[in-house]
Amino acid sequence: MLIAHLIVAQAQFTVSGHLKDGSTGEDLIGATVNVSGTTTGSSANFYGFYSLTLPAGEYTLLYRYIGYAPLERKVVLDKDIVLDIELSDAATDLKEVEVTGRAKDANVQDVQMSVTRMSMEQIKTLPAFMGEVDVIKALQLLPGVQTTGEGGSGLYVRGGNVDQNLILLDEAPVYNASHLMGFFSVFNGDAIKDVQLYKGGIPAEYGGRLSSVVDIRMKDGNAKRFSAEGGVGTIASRLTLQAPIKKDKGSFIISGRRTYADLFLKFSADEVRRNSALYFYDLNAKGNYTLGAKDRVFLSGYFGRDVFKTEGFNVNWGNATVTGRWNHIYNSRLFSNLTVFYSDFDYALGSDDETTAFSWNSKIRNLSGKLDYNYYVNSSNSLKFGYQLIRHTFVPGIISGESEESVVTGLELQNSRALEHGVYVSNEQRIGTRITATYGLRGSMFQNIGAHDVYGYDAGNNVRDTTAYGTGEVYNTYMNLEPRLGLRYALNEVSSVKLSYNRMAQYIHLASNGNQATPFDIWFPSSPNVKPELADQVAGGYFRNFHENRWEASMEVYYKDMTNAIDFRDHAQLFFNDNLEGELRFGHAWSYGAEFLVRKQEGRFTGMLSYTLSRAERKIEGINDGRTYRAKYDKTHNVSITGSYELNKLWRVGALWVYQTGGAATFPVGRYEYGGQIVPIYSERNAARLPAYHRFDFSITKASRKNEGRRWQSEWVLSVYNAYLRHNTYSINFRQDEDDPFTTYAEKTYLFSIVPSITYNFKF
Amino acid sequence: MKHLPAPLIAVLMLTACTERIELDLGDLADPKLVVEGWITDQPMKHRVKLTMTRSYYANEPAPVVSGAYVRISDGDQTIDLQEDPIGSGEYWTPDGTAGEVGRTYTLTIESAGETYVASDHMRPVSPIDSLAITYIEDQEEPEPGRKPRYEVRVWTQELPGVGDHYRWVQTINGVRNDSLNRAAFVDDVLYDGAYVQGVVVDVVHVVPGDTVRTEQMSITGEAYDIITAILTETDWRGGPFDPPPSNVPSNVSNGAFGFFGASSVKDRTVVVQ
Repeated sequence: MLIAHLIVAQAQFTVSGHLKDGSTGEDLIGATVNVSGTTTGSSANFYGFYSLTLPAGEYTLLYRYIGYAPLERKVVLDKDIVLDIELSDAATDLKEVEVTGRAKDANVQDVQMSVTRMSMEQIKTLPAFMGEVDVIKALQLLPGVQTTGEGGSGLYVRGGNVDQNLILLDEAPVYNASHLMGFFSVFNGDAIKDVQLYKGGIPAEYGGRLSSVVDIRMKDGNAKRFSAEGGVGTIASRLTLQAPIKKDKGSFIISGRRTYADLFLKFSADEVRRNSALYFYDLNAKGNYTLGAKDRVFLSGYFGRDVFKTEGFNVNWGNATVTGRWNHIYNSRLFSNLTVFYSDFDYALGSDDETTAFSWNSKIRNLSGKLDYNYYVNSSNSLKFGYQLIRHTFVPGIISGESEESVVTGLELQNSRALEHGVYVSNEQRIGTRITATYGLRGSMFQNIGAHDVYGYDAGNNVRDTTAYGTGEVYNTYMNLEPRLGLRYALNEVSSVKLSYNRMAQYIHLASNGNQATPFDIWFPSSPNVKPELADQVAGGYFRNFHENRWEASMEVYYKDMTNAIDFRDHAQLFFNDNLEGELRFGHAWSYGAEFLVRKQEGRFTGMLSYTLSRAERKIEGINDGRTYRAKYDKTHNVSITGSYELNKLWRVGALWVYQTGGAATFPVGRYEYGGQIVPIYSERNAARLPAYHRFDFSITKASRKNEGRRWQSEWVLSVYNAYLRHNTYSINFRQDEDDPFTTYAEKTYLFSIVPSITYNFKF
Repeated sequence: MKHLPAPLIAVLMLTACTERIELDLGDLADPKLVVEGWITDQPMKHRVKLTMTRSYYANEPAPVVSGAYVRISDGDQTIDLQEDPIGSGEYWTPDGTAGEVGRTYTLTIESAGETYVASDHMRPVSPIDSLAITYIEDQEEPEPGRKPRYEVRVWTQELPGVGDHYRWVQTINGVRNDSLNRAAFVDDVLYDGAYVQGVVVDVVHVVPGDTVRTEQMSITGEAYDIITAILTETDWRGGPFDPPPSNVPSNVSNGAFGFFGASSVKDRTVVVQ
């Protein structure tokens, strides 16, 4: 009996292949395949590859993806088979009847918790500021994500700081995701396919940041036919072209966006304005080619820049990333991907004033190689393992005089170089029908490399000595083991509970002292003086789907503990300072909260309700007299409600309401006079609060009438930001009355009242 | 250069609006002494002013501290300061008192049974080789009663070695304006050892015939940090990159606020052409 059982168990075969969109050939990341009527199944990886190993037999496989019509296939599994599947967009075929297929129930079934995937289609249904569809702004609506206020494309995830997010565009980190100081993000919606935010239980394949991973994947390009789409907006225009290189074999996409407000300056009567510039642009390009049944290569790049110029002064900044990838399928159960990427963020400031002309350049640059394997061991186990090496180069600042007369003699801050290694293995295991576990371990290592002069500090943070290290010398090494665990227990078909734990290590940090992150913030590495930041997070949740999985709901609680947390001494000098490490203060930070999410992703009505109750605090020696204080982004309550409704084939309305407790702020209690100024005296840092922030936005979209046989489609979008004209507080400052210098008063700054915009979009 | 360039902030805040609001800030529980005093190498009466802190919304001049025992020592000799007039909280050295470059000056105050001490070092400063007051071209018509704007340009040798800090103060037709928001400050991190050729240190409202005296003063790094901290917490607040509000450091002991500083001064006077 036992022998017979073993023989049966050994007779296992694998069905594998790629899951694609039927009309464009795009890989469907995360699309699922199940043995019909069971929970046995698999999902497509980032390259659309899936693999499902089953005992020999006849099966009906059900392929599903959100927003797509499900597809059933009967297979006879008496050998390994390759089955590439194309799903068709439910929107084109099935919209009239409320989608018949069931939504993917990953919310309940997946072991991964604290993750949200958003498709660009969903993001595009939200009202957008100035009509510019914005990935980061959409993520800010999710539970567990805080912002610092109006504008601002910083993400503060579960009490983590803005530099604790690993923002990846085709696997290359993007060091500054904002345009125009954060009013827009660098991700052009037309070029993006898929966005995932991990805020807890972070998988072992990711490392290097404490609080979240934002994994953004660009479209591969239409592999079926040439297509174009674009738009003319209030501040920017966009154009995207896609075409097959060879039908179903390879394709490319090229997508650009540029703002043009400054073009009007050229017509200005004022000479200064005529010579001014203020714009940003983004260019995304990607190509892929299938070399055979087993190999496929990709090359993608992003280039974006902000430029601001006025008489005597200019500044620009931008990111560049280039990613090359090679997928190789060893066999139906072993998939590999090799990635090589380059990422660069730089900024330059300059003045051409004759006596003080100068230029200031700064950059951070990465070069990395990364090899990842997915090994689908059997129907119960799937293994991931891999290795990544990143070479970091930091050039914090080179300042030089730019003219003969210039008084600026210049200053070159020390460059830093470092290597960051990550090696990981993790397994996802099904244990019976109810339990799925994922357990993994990541080992990370960080090495500082000379040439570099390292300062030693005394108890008062003054430089005590300097140690010089030679070129290429590894002068400091840190290592950390980062366990990652996840557990799911299915209560029944529609509900489950999940638990997770992760430890994360972070070796590069951002010197950002202001209320808003800015492009001029400085990235710096861990070093003998700066220990790696570490975070331990535990999270638990209850997940339930309703109404045949059309509605998803979840409730999660988390606690995160962060050691070697970094803050900056009072009145820290972060610019032009070769002794930046002397401005740092170290301590302990922690955060906890509860998050609630209900969302509906399919059908004529889609929407989301998100609520977060949270706290983020820190205790750092030398700041606030060593007492505990709130993080500036500590906001007790945070609510987002979004909805989009398709009235008919022509009209769609979208709406968005957000409410947040005001950010933590420091107000004065006393004052004194010095040099004609009335100087405030503060008591506790961040003990006060700004007024609550709330806002209502809506959008109305009118599509063109669809003609059979005509590919041209267009739509007009009216977006209204801050529809009820609330003067949301951007900051509160304390001022001296100009007429009566002994009178002081509080003054609120707000950025916008109502901001309407109109955008015209087309595609063919 | 602690701050980002003003034009950039101006553009970013283009659409920003402000309004006065009422906020309950509570009262300051424990008033403290505030010291404001400078000594220079110029023979004159040097002043130390003593006041007290108040609640933020006090909206009247700070209460002065009268009847204190105030003295300044250079390590060798000690000078007593006299309150004048009595009850003003302003204490003066005898006329003709002059500090000396290279010495450290210590201020000691005894008031209400407490003793407060502050000290600062007098650093050298190079002379102003040349001073020019130049009309700013293409400026808008000045407001009624206001004089047009002129740039104050200096030619001077920045002293070799990083660590020098400067302050410039203008006296127009005998009226000296040393309020912090009118004065220019700079460190030499980017300019070390440079020959300064006509750099603009201030903008003044004058007409031809007016007399402008410019004082080029050395200040210590501590004075520079405290002055920039004061401006960071007052006039410079309101931009998108403001650092977290923090108390301005002081060089006075025993929990007092303020600063006692030492400066050497080189000056030059011109008549506006």
